[in-house]
Amino acid sequence: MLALSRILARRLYHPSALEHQLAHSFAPLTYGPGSTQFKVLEHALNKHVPSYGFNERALVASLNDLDLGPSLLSVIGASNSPSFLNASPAVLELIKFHLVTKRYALTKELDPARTSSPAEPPALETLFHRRLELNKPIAPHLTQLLSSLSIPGEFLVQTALPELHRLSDDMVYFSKEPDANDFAWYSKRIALSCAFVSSELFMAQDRSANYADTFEFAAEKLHNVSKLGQYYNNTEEYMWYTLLMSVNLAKSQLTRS
Amino acid sequence: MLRKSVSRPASRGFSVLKSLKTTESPKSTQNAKPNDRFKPLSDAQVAYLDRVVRVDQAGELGANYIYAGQYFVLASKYPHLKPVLHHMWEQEIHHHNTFNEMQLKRRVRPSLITPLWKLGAFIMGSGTALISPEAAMACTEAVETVIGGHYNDQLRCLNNQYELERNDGTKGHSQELSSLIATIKQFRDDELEHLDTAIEYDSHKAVPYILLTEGIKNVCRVAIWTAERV
Amino acid sequence: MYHTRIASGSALRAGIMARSSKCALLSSSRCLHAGMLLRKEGPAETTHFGSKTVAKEEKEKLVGSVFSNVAAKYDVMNDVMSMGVHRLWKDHFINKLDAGKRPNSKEPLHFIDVAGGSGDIAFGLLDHAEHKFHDTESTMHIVDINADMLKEGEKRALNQGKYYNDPRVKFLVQNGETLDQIESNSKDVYTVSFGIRNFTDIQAGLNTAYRVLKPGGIFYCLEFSKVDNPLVDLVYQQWSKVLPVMGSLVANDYDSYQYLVESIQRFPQPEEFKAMIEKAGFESAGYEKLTFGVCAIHWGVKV
Repeated sequence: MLALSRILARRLYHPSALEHQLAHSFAPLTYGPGSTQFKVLEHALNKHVPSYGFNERALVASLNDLDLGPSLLSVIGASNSPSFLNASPAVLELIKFHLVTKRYALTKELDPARTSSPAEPPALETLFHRRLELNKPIAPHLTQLLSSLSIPGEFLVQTALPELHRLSDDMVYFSKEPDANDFAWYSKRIALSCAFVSSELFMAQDRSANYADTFEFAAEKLHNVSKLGQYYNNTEEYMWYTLLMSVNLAKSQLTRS
Repeated sequence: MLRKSVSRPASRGFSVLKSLKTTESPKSTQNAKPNDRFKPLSDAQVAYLDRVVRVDQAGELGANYIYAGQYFVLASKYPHLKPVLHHMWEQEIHHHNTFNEMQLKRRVRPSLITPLWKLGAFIMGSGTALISPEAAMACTEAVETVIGGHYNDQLRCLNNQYELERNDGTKGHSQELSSLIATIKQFRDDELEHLDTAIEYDSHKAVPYILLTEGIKNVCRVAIWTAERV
Repeated sequence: MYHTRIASGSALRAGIMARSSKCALLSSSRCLHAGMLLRKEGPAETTHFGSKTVAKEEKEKLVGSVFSNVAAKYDVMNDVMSMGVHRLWKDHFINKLDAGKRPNSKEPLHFIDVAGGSGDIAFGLLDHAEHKFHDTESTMHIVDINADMLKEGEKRALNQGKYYNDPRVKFLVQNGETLDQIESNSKDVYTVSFGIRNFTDIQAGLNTAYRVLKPGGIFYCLEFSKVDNPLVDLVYQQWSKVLPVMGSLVANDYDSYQYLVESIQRFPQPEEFKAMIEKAGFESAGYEKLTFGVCAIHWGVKV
């Protein structure tokens, strides 16, 4: 509960990237694109994870390909604690890398800090669709990925849930979706996160050609997301209206009698 | 990205309708050259900026709804107060809109219990107005005093703790920070003007004066503390 | 000469504990220093030994004697002082490092455990590698400046019937600041657990670690740290005052445990230590606090 409140208190302020040097280009990761860890993880994610899945076998295969020693596994996993069921910290870092790089790839041409000519913000559905497409190479291993992400422990609270939130936040911010200033801000993002997780779960067992069923499912879920924001606002407006009208009505009744 | 035109008439009442999003012009702040860029802010500095926007947005929301409550109760019965209340309310709406824009643009999380602030502020405004117009003015005085002090604290912190260093070694404030400081300064002056107006309109004559003002001041302080964190 | 110094030290310390004010501590160490100046010719290069100030050359000997005194009861005292929590810390350290030759990896790993005479971390690392990855090829160098502690390690290996007379495991008496018998660029994993605070020159120790590691090697250090939570700190300070008393009861040695407590207080803050690690040339330096900051795992990578 305390950890949850800590997540809620986590800052999401982005100082103007146009005026500030970024501390790390891929913010939650503590190493940059030039570092050895990045190279190894990228190689593993692109070449070996699609065949072996999210485990140490893929990482060691990449280390062998790049002629690096196995002690680098400790290096890669250094910022993670071994999870409750003793999943390897290096694999946790691989999963974190996958989540972060896919999120950044999603908004590469939309962020004015990363391109000099940002494109028009697309619809929310487009971004959602794009993110699911990025999952295609590792789709056979989605079940394993999602189960690693759901194990209760430090990784869930420190990395998995915040990354999910940042993804929803990015998707809302960089799309044409109207954003809210009140509780609808939260309900929209929670709804989007739920939609995303359920779409990924569907994708994990989807056997249709090119995952067409998944995208259909996702479109249906998304339809509800924008509805949810509207429902909330409509309810609130209705309640204010009722309150004020009943007060006025009471006033008029009192003056009459 | 959202752009709300500030020149919209302030007759929005309690509508929460949003305008369609339009793309903001990409050259609102020029892409700074690598040497002119500022070094990254520390975690604490970023967290503080986050809090500033969140609590100020919640605060202006509260002020907006307090004046709405007061106007709702008093405007018809006391027509001589109508223009004053309306003017102060308009200014609060402008403040609220500014922070709303800032919250969206800077990707700040708004306060979680915003509906609670809305309800509470409206009840406080209409409740004190029901007691008497002087009580309403006393409520305004109390709220504006606390807000004035709060803005002063923020200005002090922003001026002292944010001596940013550029990549080439020179120090200064970024454009974003200077505009934030200027905005808060302007709003603080507006709030103090409201404070003077409230006193001018016999706030001291309110009957449970000390009780009312001290109680409301404490409620505001607790609200500020909560809005910063939740 | 050493014994008389310690004796005078303890008398002074009794006085310090009675007054328990920072100024008193400083003035007493200045008194000691002034005393030494009178004894030696010219100014000596000094460093801290607990809360005392001693000559740099002396510190090594003094630390050596502390550990010779505690060697026999080292494990028991660790259990008593940390109420068994040190086992959890060490387990977490080993699990987090997760080092070992993986099944499809080509070469075995070469470990070095510095100031690890008693062998708990070293044997733990090898056991972890064997149980988790079926790695029976990685080699281990257990290195300690104090021969008595090393003997304890060998005794433990003999008792458990494992790693004694094993070609994989070598016990060496070495100074952690120089490691003269260890080649440069020869080690994959360098671990030091609750030892680096006793080095006379911590930066030299870190530089040597850098020299000894291969590119891609990792430096992993478990050491006491500063408690950040003020409530927990209160309890911790009171507990630290009790420790030397327990030492005198269990191991009949008040002074050595007083030294241990003071050396913990003298160790730099985690951010400072991280900067020292980076200064030695390591990259991606970081740390993780354990148990509210009572101890911390620091790491750095040689690129």
